[in-house]
Amino acid sequence: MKNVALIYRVLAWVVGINLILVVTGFVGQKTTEPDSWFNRNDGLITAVDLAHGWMFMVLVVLIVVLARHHRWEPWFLISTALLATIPIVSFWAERRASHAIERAERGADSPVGDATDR
Amino acid sequence: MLGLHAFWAVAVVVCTLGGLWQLGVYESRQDEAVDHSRTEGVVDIGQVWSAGEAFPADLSNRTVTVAGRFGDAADQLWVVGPATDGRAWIVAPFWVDGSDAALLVVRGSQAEGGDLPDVPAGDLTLTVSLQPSVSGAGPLDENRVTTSVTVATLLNELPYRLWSGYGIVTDGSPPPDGATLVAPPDPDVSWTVGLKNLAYALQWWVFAAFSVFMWWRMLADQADKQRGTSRPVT
Repeated sequence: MKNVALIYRVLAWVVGINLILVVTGFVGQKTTEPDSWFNRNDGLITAVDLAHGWMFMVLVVLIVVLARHHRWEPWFLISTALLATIPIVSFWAERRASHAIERAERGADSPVGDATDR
Repeated sequence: MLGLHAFWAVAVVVCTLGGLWQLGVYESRQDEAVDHSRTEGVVDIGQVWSAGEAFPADLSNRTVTVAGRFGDAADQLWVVGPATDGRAWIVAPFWVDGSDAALLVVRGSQAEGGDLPDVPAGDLTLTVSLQPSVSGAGPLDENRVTTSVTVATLLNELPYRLWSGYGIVTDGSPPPDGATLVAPPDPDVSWTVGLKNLAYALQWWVFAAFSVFMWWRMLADQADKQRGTSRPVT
């Protein structure tokens, strides 16, 4: 499970950086002239966009695996996945989840996340 | 708990609609490409082809304008066959300005053949979708009906030199009374036009399926938990 947590951390960073590229590409294409670098390299930007979609899916699967293992509250799982879709915030979501995992592995056996019983 | 159910329901709906939306974008990209290749560089027929020259393969489905005038109404003929979708095409020879040959044009189609209609008089400029001659038709029968526009056969039936393909009229000459214009076949457009939107649609649906799975897992967990907690009570 330690390996899964490590893969999750790495992938969360890759997806987070990739997400910034996606947003940069999108804004770049919308705000610059049709012959700008952004619009001439539409194929590259499409590849980055598609890569984001598939990597995000893998990331969500990893989050679910971790959530089931550490018995996360459903909302902690959902928010971790959703926050990963927001540029910059995604890095914070990764920190939050990784801290929770570390706490859990240090022995705190209580479920992670919001303690209210839903 | 209700909130979680609502969340998963919304997630499934949003992801499904997202996929449909991207599928719609893909289809409109395809349609745009079809329109574009249909109207791309509409030029006079003389600029891309000449009478006596074999039909160039890349002219198939190409839209061109043709200036000239119709031949005799009595030289028209009917085509009822595989390409005509159960209807009868009215095919007329059309003298093309600047050549000494006639181009066969499909003026329209009607439910079945019959008396040949009149042809418009005078100089006209037609817009036609060019099509290659189709092989295999026999000679005209007594009602001037054949099964396809086969130039090689019709050369023997008509007192004209003929261009080696034909045109489906899309503009410039209204169809005869009771007939409608024939829609030319769609130009071939690669399915990869707009491919990224198709890929996005797929991704949305994978997320939708994943949401369904997660929802189901949550329900299954709950059922387990309830069974576990209710046992001591009973």
